Amino acid sequence: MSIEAVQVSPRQMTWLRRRRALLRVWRELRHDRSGFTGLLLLVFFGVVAAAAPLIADRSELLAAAGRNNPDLAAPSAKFLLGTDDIGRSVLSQLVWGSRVSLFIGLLATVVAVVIGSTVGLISGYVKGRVGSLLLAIDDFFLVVPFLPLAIVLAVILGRSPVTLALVIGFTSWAGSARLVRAQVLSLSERGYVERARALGANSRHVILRHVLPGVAPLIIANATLIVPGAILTESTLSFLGFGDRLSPSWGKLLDGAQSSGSITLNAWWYYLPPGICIITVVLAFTLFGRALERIFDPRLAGR
Amino acid sequence: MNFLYVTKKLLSAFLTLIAVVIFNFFLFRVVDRDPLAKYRGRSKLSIAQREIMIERLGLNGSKWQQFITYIKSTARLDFGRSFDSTRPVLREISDRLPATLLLVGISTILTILIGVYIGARAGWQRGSRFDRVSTSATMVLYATPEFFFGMLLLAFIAGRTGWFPTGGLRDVGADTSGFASILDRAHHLVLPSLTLTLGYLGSYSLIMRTSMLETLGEDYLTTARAKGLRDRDVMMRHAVPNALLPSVSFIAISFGFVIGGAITTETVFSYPGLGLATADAIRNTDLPMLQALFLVASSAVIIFNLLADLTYGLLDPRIGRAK
Amino acid sequence: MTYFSQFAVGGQMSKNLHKVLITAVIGLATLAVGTSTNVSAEGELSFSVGITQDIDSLNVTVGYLVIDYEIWNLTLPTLTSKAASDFSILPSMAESWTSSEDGLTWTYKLRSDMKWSDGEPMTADDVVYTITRSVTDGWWNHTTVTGNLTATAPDAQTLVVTSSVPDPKLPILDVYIVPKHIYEKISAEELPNYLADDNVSGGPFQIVERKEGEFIRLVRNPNWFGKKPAIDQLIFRTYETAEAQYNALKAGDLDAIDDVPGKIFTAVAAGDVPNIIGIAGNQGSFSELAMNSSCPTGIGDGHVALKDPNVRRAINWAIDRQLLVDKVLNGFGKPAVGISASANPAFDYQVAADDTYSYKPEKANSLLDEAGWKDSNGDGVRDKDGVELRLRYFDRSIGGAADTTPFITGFLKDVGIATDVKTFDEDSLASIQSKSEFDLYTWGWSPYADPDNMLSDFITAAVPTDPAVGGYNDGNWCNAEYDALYAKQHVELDPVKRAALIQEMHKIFVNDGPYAVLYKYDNLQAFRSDRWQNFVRQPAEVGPVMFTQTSSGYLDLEPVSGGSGRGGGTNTVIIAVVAIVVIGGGLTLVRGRRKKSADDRA
Repeated sequence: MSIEAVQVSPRQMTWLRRRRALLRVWRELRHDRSGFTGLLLLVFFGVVAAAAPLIADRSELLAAAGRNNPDLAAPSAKFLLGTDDIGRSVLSQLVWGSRVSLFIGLLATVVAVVIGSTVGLISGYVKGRVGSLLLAIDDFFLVVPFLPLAIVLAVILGRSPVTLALVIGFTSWAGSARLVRAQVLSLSERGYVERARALGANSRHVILRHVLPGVAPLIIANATLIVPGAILTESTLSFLGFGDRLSPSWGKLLDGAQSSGSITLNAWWYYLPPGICIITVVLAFTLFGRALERIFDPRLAGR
Repeated sequence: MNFLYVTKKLLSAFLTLIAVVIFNFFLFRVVDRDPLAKYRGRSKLSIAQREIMIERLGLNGSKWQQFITYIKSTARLDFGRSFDSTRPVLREISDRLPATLLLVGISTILTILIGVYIGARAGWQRGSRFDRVSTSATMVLYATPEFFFGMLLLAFIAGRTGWFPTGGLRDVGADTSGFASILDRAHHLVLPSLTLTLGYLGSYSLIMRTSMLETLGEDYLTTARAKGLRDRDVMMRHAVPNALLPSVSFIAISFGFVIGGAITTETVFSYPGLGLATADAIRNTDLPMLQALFLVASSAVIIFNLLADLTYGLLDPRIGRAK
Repeated sequence: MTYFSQFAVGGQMSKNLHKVLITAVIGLATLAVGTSTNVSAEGELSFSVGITQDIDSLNVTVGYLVIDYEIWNLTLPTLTSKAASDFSILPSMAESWTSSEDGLTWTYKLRSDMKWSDGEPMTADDVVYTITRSVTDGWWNHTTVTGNLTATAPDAQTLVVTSSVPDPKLPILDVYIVPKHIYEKISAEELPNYLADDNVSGGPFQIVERKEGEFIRLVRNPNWFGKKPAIDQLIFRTYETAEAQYNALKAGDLDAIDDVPGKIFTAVAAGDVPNIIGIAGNQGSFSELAMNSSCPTGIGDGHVALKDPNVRRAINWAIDRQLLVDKVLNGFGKPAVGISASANPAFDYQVAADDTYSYKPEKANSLLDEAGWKDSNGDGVRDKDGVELRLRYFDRSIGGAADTTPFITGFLKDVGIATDVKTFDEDSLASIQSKSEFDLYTWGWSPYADPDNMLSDFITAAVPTDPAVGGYNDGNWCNAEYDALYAKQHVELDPVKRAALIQEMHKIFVNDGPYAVLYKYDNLQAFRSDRWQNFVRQPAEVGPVMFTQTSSGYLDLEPVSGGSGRGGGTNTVIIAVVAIVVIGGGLTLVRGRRKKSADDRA
């Protein structure tokens, strides 16, 4: 999305312009079949996560909740997705798991985007030593294999969901820093940044007022594409033993399903739903993110 | 490709490696994990024994001295002893490296070949049925955690049919000589490498497709087509090679993901390589092992990236002639 | 941007693309043509066991896991042996033995035909060496038995052992004898790192190959002086998950597995799985929640509340053990409130007809109220004098105990006790224990045949006082009465009187002790019944077949006559067919696509 040359305009003008831009995005999204499907799926999972307490009581996650239920029972009217190996409803865990998985995915993304954008903005805007140092750090994180790094950090920092989110965020910002930097460089070439500088604006002002709005759409689209990676990483780490058994994410549910022998026992209602949920949400974010990318960057249209 | 380019790339790879080594040192000094936990309360170590072990682990002296010791021993590829097995870490790693190299190697080759094929064809025939089906399929592949593939293969192929072993590297005690042993190993490799291939096929083919679409926008292709060249020839001779070029660096970066995938895949199939060693080291908080495994994984990616850069330089004439 | 100059190179590459693809498909298919046969050399009988716990150390002075003991049982001789049925003493290295008047000195007559697997003679000298060095170096697997012993060998077949006190653990003298000619070459400093890779055996089998984390392969030791096993080759193969291991058994890659996932075992035990039988064996293994009782002579930083025996009792009353057995053990085990002192149930805590520590949260609540721990600020957590009843709960990252944690934290929450759970690996947990820096932690034990070792873990002398040295008293608990009774049974030679003393100790421990014992769990093992028979359990009827006190089960196993053994014929055929289909299919696919793409756009 290109923003027209900077003009001193009233706040309302800016607001109007942004609203128009948003409307345009919405219109284009409405016509982008896969992107819109992704959005709908995301809304669905968002609603489920938000409404989790209405769908299932939190106490159903307690280990003793399955006290009077059969273990690994097939789906029935009482348990729509059957029970797990200790008699708890799989559906209830799946519903609450959407909260954990989405929470970790989103928090990790926020962390990654904040670090990535900051590094990208500064390294693209500031030349000289700081810029090249940041670039070197970015290179380093781009090359270091991120799952081993995440594992090492998780071992060091602990196994809680919040730590996992921080670890994932910290290990997945390098790509977006690179993207943002490239965009900043191309914006700089367009000259209006130079003009703002010439008018005497300080760096902070220029970055926040002129450069950031220019790269914002890209950052948003990119963030949407970081979430699925973060969710996948979370499921992998949970599968390797990190995470919390009492508020299980989908990955942790898969871990439980695997270790209780549900595959061998054909208890598909235990291992398929969390896997399908992961695939669906990751797919939804990817479709939606790619659609945003297309809308914000017309060069990509038709992909 | 000129000398300067190669030197620059080599130097940068080397510097990154040094950075990893230094990073590693500080990373593992943060953890509060008793290095002698293994021996506590079991065999009662004498004071003398304890000192020997502390020294052997490079944990004596000031932080600076420790750092020097660490750098020196790393240069000698001496990573100390595993907290868990008490064997030298280097031996643990060299024992398990071949299995992982084989798994990751086969999977990477298959993924690149199949991924490039699907991506190139989908991009070339954009909007065709092949494109629609393959793009949807690769998106789903991309969205699936590779260990879930592993679980499904285990459930529906190994568990039900018995055609493939459910785990391990080889049949112990079987005739371990010659061709039979190669077949035996290959037999054990099928499901793990299939898992890893499926797991990363998605991203590879999506990258190739995007790259292909970018190439399609170029003028010379239109020219080539206009000249009446056969469509197939235009694709194979002009479009694919050029689309491959930008894919190279993406593929190199994705290699880091494949290494990550090896960890869960080897776990699902009890395939005793470095990935399984990583999973075990996590469970035992085996810091020397983790430290070395991290270094090995990073080096692998750095080397792979270097190779990609050099290939790129070889393929792209602009880089060779520049400056 | 144009890349015209690339055409030459690119063309070359692309021409080969299909060839490469076809090669890849064929390669993949070739991979598929593996054989699943596992037949070793002609006529040899191989027995493969799946395990989920890798060997910790083959070094008998360092290792401590059940699998380590299994290998030692198979490769290291013992002076005497124990009957499979009831642990009664049997001759082994020693053919006969006599005791002196005062019962302090035992003279053993050893067999004369013994040799180590490397051909070196096995004599009384090896026994003397083992006893003497284990005392000097403090080998922890040995000293509870040998600590009070001295030994001499008047000649190669005569062994004289003298105890400083009357010792009920004689004449069994239950320790592994190590080969002197190997161990004397290793200094005390080097010993903890010694990998025991000499492969010299004095047991029924000898190690021939080991890949760490993968397998250990043993073959029959031709120099073994005892019962000749039918098995020629014994393989223990490590699996990452119990389920993978079970699938390998079902597929026929294994003959037996230890540690069947509980839910799957239910199906196996019900006879739903053809050719596989399940044996749930109990030999006293139990799990517990240890509580830091903060013994005054000890170190550490245990929560103040746990010093009060009433709080410890309250925790015991708050736990629903039956639910744990039902849900965590799937019914394969039984609730327990006392420890198993021995693999022999005769030494267990004999529960009187009372309801000690049945699930009574209301009783837990009233005990805690009486002890002054009340929820004064209504946040659901009890407190006293400004201290919250919030306990650090350290969980083991592996082992069945891990599954109990979510249950137990729930039970404790129900009675107003908050917990902060942290997960550690076993070694780290042991290290924390040696500093007594915990409030609660989960662990489990598998006792020996003689109760002394297990009981000795709770005497005051075993309380850790120096983190570097540690101590086995993992509840940081001391009780003078218990100590006195321990000392008495330690030297009581009359088995009946000794059993009575041990009962007294159990009572004190259950009433006052630092453990909330949870349950005794069964070892869930499964075997290929189409290939093997004569599964002898130790102890009789209730015990497991493998991973027992003497591991004699392998010596009793017999192949099923006319059984298929390890046949790969059908599998190979199927795989060959699949391979051909894959190759054919792959080729057709590639060629088909090739044609189509040409047609499509030409």
